[in-house]
Amino acid sequence: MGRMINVRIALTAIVILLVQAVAATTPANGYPQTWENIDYKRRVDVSKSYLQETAEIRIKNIDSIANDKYYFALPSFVAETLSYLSASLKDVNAFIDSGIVHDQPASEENSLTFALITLPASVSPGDEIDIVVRFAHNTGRRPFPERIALGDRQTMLITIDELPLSNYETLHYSIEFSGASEFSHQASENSKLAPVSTKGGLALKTSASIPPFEPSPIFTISYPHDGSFPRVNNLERGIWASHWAETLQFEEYFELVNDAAPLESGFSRADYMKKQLALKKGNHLATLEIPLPAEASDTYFTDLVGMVSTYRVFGDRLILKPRYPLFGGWRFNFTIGWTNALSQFLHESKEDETYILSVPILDGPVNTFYDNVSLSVYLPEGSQVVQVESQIPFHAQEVSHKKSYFDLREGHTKISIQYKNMVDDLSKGQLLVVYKLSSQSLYKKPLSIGAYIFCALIAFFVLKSQ
Amino acid sequence: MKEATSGTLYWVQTLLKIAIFLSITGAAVSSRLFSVIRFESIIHEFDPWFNFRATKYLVEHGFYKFLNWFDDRTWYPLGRVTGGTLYPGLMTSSAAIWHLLKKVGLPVDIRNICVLFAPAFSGVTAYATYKLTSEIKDSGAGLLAAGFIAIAPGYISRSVAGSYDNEAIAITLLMVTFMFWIKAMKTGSIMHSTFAALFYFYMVSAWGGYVFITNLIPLHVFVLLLMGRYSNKLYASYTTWYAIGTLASMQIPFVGFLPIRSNDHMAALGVFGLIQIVAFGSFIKSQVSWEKFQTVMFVSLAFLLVLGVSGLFLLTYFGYIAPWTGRFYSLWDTNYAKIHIPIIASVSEHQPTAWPAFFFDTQFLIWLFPAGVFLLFLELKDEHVFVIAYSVLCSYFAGVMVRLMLTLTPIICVCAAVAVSKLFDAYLDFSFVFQKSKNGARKFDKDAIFTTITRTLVSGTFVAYLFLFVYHCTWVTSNAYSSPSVVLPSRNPDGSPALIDDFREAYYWLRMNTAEDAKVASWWDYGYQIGGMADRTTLVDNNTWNNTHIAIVGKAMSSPEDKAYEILQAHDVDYVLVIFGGLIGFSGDDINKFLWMVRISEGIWPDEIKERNYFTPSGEYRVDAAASQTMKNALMYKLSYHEFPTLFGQQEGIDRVRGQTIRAEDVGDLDYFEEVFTSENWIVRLYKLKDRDTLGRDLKSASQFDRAAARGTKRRVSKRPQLELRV
Repeated sequence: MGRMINVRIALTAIVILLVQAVAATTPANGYPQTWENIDYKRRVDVSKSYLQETAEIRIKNIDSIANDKYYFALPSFVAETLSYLSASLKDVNAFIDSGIVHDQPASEENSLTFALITLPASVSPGDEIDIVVRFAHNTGRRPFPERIALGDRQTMLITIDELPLSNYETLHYSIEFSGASEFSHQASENSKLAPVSTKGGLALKTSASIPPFEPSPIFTISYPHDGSFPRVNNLERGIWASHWAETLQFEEYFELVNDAAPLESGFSRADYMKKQLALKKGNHLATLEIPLPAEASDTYFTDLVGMVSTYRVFGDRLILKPRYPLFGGWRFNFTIGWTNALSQFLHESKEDETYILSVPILDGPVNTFYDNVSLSVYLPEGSQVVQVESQIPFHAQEVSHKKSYFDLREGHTKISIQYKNMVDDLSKGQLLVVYKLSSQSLYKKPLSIGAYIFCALIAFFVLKSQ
Repeated sequence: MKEATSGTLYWVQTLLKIAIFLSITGAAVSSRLFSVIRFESIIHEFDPWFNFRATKYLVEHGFYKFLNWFDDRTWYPLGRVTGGTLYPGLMTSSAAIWHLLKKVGLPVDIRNICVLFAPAFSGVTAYATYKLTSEIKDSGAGLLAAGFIAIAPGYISRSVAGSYDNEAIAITLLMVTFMFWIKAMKTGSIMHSTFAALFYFYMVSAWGGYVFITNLIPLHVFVLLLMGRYSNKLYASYTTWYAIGTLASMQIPFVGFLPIRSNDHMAALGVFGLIQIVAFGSFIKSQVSWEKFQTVMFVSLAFLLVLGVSGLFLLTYFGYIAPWTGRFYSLWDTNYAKIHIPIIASVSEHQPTAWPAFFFDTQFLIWLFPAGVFLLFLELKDEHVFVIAYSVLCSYFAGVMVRLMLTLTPIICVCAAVAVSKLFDAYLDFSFVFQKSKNGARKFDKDAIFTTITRTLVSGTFVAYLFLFVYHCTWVTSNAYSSPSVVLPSRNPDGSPALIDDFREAYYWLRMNTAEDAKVASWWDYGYQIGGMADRTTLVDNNTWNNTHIAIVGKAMSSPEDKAYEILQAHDVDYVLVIFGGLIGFSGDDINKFLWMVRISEGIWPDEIKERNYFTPSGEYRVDAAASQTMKNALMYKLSYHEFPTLFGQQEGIDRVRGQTIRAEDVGDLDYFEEVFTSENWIVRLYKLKDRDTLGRDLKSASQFDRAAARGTKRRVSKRPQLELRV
């Protein structure tokens, strides 16, 4: 219990996409110029199937009073697929408050989205502080050339703003790319950046001052990427708690698509076999690796036409081989499920028959981006939800009922929560459900089933005796 | 077996009977679960996929929408009036079970209900057979018959888990109807004959084979009349059954007015008329003297016979009564279908039965069957006449068509049970051992010892036979009848079991990666599966109601590429699916079925497609270098072997089904079609029709140009740039 609460505190601190509307009146040109970016280091990591960006900014208070609110700007098209955004102080291993500001100032051309970062303590005028903002999103990347032949090398292209988009003036700026064996870039003609030599990857920098909201030239980075880009359109994750069976059953329905470069002509199995592509790494998705909670049992893998026999469980990892290798643009919907002991996730509070269920929000394949996640927790019939806490901010929440086996009254209590733009990294997040379940309703079910069967037997006896 | 009516003995007997029935049901269900345990809970074969799809439609949309269902996803572009052309009994039953289970807190998935439907109903069949046989002989024979029918392979072949077909419920209904009929006929009870009629209606709603009942019950009555066994009981039961049953059966949209228009139903109507006359005659007989009655009878019989036959002839001639259907003709002349309706003959279950099949499907029951019939002949009560008529009629039909083995099996079980039970009645009776002789002392003379030995020997032998029967049934069920045929068992290189799942791989690819309204052309065998698993529109399917439409697909498959392209384009086809077993030796593939495609399309276009052209000059059906040019040009050949030879490194590939060598130059290039998917073991191959050329060329020259250009690029690349200076 103690360990769990620690985890909980640590994770609640990642208040990602915090749903809090900050009422603010701002000028059309953004928020007041209270800060100055002394040094803005931007890093873009392309190794995963989504883009991970880090902005390491040294900021200086140029206002006349002490301030603790820093506005971080993002282009809206990035914000649309923004998965998480977290802020921390450099060299301090703790997260600080950050969240998307929903009341946006109306801006002219490209609309902006702001995240408000609240520093743990106000910074006096003239003082400096280092903040780190990390976020992941799934925009601005496409294969080039758009279609490739079977077994060809895949090159990806990122189009990205060359300059930082900021509410404040930036004095020094550098951008760095990592996560691929080589990068080549095409700078625009009026580029202000100069390349810097780095070990691996690509880095550019400038020492010229950049005014706030400076329109940025676009530049294009291309890099080889010999891997797939799994993306889950929809994930329907169901978690069934059973007090009688002492189990927690998981069932996940995935709508998976591979965002890699599609084939330029049809799929030729002969070529696939001759080039032995099944054994080579390529942009096709031949297997999926899914980390399962410890001691998961009764694993299964099915799809809309029945069981898929090609899967293996190695310890706590589930390795799936879809019916066919997923080339670029190909889809595959499937369902997996497993069972865990309830005691791994459930904690009973001593007083008034209250239970606390703490379940991971995600368990899906590694290196995956999720557009929509719908998480449903099914509690035993007759339980009352006291509180629901998600460490990852959600989109919508609902408590309803769902009839399942031997539900003779209103059915299982169902809590469904919708998430958007999730990534596999967030699977550490937990959902906490506090609910009440009286022992009366726990025993009501077997007793009523027993009574029905008894009545049936008596009826048979009476009918036979006549 | 004597039955107690009250007291402890009654309850002991009831308890024992319940226990026996639970065991019989347990045996019946569990022996049908081989495929679920070995593979998974999956719908089998072809037709069940349609029934499953229809059931899902019924559950989702409700009964009235189901009856009015016009399915635009099959028989493109014609569509199919599915609601009016199917027997809804099976689907409505499983939907009713689904709703009922949902009501009692068991929301079972509809697929699992469909998969386990047949095993569940086999238990009911066993009970109905028990009741029927009890009426024929006694409850001892009934229990034996129930045990036999529960595990007889002849019935299991159509009722394993996953075999969600009309027959799954039809055999149950057949036995229930007959059981009620026998009861009604014996007692003259209106209630029992009404039940018989209601179950007859249920049967009509479930299976086209209801015609069997429609003819068998009148035949029974007719034979009884000929034997002079008319009674008021018979009159009451038959007229009740006929009136209610016929009116009820006309409520099924697919049947409609057939009971008064089709020749198949005329016997029942004729006997209905006859029994009125006989009833009238017997009334007259009781009023007038015998001589007068004889004259009246002869005159009126002759008159009625002439009137009836000529009336039937005229009505058929003028088209008021539908003539016999093709399937019916093929029952009398086994060559009829082959000559006139190749589409019926192309189905393997319509072939005549081979002799070993009888033993395979019923084991020792097959030789007890005539013995049982003979024993019934000795007694020849009214109900025995029914069993004898059933046996004779069905023995013939089962010999003509393999699938009718199914209707023969129940009566084999009944007759064999009668024979075994008669035997056991005599030989299992050891009560004399305990009888005391007149003087009070126990008798142990020579006679008693010999009788004991002979009785032990005979009954021991038959117990051994019963044991062998159970063993045989389990073996047959496990080895012959438990394959879903959608999934094939195989082995990994290390010997561990693996599954060949190519069908679902390709169907699922279609479902996931093609447009939702894509049209798929394939041979009709796979129509239901494509509809059920891939959820895509098909041109033809296993319903085979439109021979011409099937012939169109057959023509496309047997034509050269350019012609086939025109035909398929005209039908909006996007994808072509072929089944090819050459790589792993799967013999049920399209090349082996190809001749039927040729024959069926030849039936419609005899000028364009000629079966002879697909054979070698010496009359062989070959696919290697010796194959005829027409064969090599046929679309089916090209799609099956496209890129196949290149897989073997050199220019030749070995087809493992036909054991012939395929050369790359015989297969040639594809100009009008593009391979889009081939399953892991090449069983299913999918091709896309290429779009029309943007430059207005025909696709052949466009493809040739592209290939030449590709070769040119390669050549240019391999050429070294010339760098020497020219002065």
